Amino acid sequence: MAVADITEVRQYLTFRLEEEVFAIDVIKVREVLDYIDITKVPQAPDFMRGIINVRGSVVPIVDMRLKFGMSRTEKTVNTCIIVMEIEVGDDVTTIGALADAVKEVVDLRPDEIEPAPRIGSKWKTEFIKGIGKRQDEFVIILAIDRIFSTNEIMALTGGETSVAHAPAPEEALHAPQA
Amino acid sequence: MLKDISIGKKLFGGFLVVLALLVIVGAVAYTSLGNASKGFTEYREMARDANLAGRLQANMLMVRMNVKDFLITGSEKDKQQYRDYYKRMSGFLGESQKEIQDPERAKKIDFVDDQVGEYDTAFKKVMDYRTQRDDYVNNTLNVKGPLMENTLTDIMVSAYADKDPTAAYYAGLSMKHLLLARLYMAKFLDTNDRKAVDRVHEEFEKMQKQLEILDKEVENPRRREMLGTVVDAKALYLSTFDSLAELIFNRNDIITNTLDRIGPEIAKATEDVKLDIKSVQDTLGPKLQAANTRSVTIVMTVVIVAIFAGICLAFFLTRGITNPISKGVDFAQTISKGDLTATIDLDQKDEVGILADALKNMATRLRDVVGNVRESSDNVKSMSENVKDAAENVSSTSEEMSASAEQMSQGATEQAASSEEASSSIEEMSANIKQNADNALQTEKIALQAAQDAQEGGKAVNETVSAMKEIADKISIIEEIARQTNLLALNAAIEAARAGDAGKGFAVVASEVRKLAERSQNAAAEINQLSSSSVDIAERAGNLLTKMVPDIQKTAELVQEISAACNEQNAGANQISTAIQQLDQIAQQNASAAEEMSSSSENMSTSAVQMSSSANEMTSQAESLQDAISFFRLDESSSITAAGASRPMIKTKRVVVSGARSGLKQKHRAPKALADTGNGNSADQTPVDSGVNLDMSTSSDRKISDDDFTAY
Repeated sequence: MAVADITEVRQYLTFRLEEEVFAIDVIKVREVLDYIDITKVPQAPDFMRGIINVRGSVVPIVDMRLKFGMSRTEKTVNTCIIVMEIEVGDDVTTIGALADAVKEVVDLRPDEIEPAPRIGSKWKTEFIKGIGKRQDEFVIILAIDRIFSTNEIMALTGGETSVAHAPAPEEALHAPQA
Repeated sequence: MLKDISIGKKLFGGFLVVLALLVIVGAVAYTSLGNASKGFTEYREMARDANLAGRLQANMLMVRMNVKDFLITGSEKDKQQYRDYYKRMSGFLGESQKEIQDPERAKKIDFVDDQVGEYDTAFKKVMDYRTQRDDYVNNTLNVKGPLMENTLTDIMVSAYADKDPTAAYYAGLSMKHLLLARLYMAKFLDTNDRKAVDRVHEEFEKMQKQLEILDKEVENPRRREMLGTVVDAKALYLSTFDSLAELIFNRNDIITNTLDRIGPEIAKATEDVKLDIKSVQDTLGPKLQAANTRSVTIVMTVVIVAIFAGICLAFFLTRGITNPISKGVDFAQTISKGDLTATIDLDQKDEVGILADALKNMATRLRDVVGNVRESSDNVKSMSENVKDAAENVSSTSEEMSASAEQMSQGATEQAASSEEASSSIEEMSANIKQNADNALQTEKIALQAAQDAQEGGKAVNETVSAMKEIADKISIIEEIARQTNLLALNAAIEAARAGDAGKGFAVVASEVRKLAERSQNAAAEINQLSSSSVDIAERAGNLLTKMVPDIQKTAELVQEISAACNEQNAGANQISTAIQQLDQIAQQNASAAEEMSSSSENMSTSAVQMSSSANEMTSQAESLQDAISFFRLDESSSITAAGASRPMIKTKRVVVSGARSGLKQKHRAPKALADTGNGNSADQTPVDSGVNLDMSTSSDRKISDDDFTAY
């Protein structure tokens, strides 16, 4: 049973957090950077590690592991920063996410993607677009736009985004899967 | 004689003398101080007496002054003052009588006391007279005088009124004489002159004549009556005056004869007392001063004498004790050095003298003992000569014995044959040993080469290790590049994907590039792992090689030692072969000598018996010597006598212990003992270590003696 809104073959960037493999739509990814030093921002939330300079523009860095309730990301040789573009309402915001390792860009057909089970997952299913199967390996496809609430994004980007269009964090978390 | 007194008595005597001097000093000082104190007390008493006398005198003077005042004024105040001063003077007088002890002065004071009493009575009489005089003057004279005058005036006035000029005239004349008489009376009262008294009498006589004439002339009854009054008054006046004059004269007599005599007498007596005291003080003061000065001089002299005597005593006593003691010490030290010829020259009978005598006796006894010891040692020497003779006998018999040793030669010949065989096998052995040595030398060379090679191998391994480490470094660079390439390919894939269909081809290329990068990354990781493991192995190999090097070197050294041992063995084998050859010869000689030896052994035994008897004698001699020496109680310090005594003793002991042994041996041993005790006489000495040294073939004497040992 395929996921309803995935009708064509799409490309996904796969990466690793701890031992789990995640994937995001490659369209959302702007680039992948080697780990560089992060400038800390005072009074930011825990998962917000700070900011970096990407070719002149300030990009906030979030710790995906913290966001998903894992331990804090430690720097290794393979640690990367995935620079993503997230849609919040009508705006597009650039944020960086820390990943333990970036694997590859893969093609996934719609029939290879299953919807997320509603029980037995430690992830809030709203964040998950579906589960990709690849050579007996599961890839959790993230709905990256839904992971960060409007307020969080506003906190990260310094409140430039208008609040009127954005749903409340609770609404975002409990939004019914379309 | 001072020398014959004991040290204790000398010391006691010295301290006694010093103590006696101290006692003298004390006694002199004590008596001098006592005298001075007594003189001072006496002097002070005198001063007090003089003071008392002075005050007595002063009060007496005050008394006298008051008496004079009273005589002039007659006032009650002066009388009172007189009484006061008199009382005080009496008090001082009483005190003086108590205080002043000197009999002469006391007598004077008693005299003064008497005189003062007399003075007082006289003065009291004078005072009575004065009262009486006043009574006369005031109650009679000064009453009757004006009465007569008034009566005569009345007569004159009445006569004049009656026109009786004669009566008036005579009355006037009488009046004149009366007035003159009264005038002289007053003058008398003032001057107490006898002329005035005469004049008063004269005037009264003249007045009498006039009154008689008047008596004839007056007929008026009233005037006659008045005349009678005058005559009566005149008679009373005259008689009163006469008694007054007499009273005053008596008083004056008392004043001049008693008061004015006694006063100066008292003054003189007190003055005498004072002067007497003063003169005594004047003599006593200088005397005391002189006595004090003398005492100081005496004490100082005695002290100086005592100090000088003490120093002299200390000096002589110290010298008297230390001189003989040091002599005794010198004597004892000389004897302790072993010089018994020393003498001590001390002629005194104190402890030191006794000590010197004891030392002298000791020296004589020592001399005797040493003489005894010398005699005994001489005896022992002669005994030892006897022993020597016996030993010579033994030696001659042993020469005979040497002939009999030839019998041994046969066995020895056989011995020689077998020893030749031994010699040939030994030569064979030596050849083998030589080959061994050569092999060892070669082995050593090879081992050294191996050690060197191992060292080089270790070095090569180390180089390899460093090279591999470098490779690992380089490979990690490659790994990094592969990773970067991977990332780049990923980004390229992302770009291609975002480009949609247009990027599809590029995406394939990027994917391929990424795969290549991944492969190279994996390969690099594998190489890295391999190189790190081979580094470990190489390091282990290097360690093993470096551990091997000292082992190989040790092997080389051991091989070297083996070769050296082989060489030594070779030399030893050679020596053994020569020794066997020598043994062969000796055995032949021994064989011949042995024969003779057996026959002469009997003779030797008899001489040995002789020798043992003389040795016994020598032992007894040595014992007597020991007795003599035990009396002497020898210390190691008295080495000369000890050495002299012990020399023959050693000999004797040797004889006793090894009595049956050969005399020749004794002959050689005895000089050795002499050499041990440090004497010369070692010119012909050759060390005899028989039995150990193989030097048997050089001297026939020694060979025989050796045989002698085997025979027994």
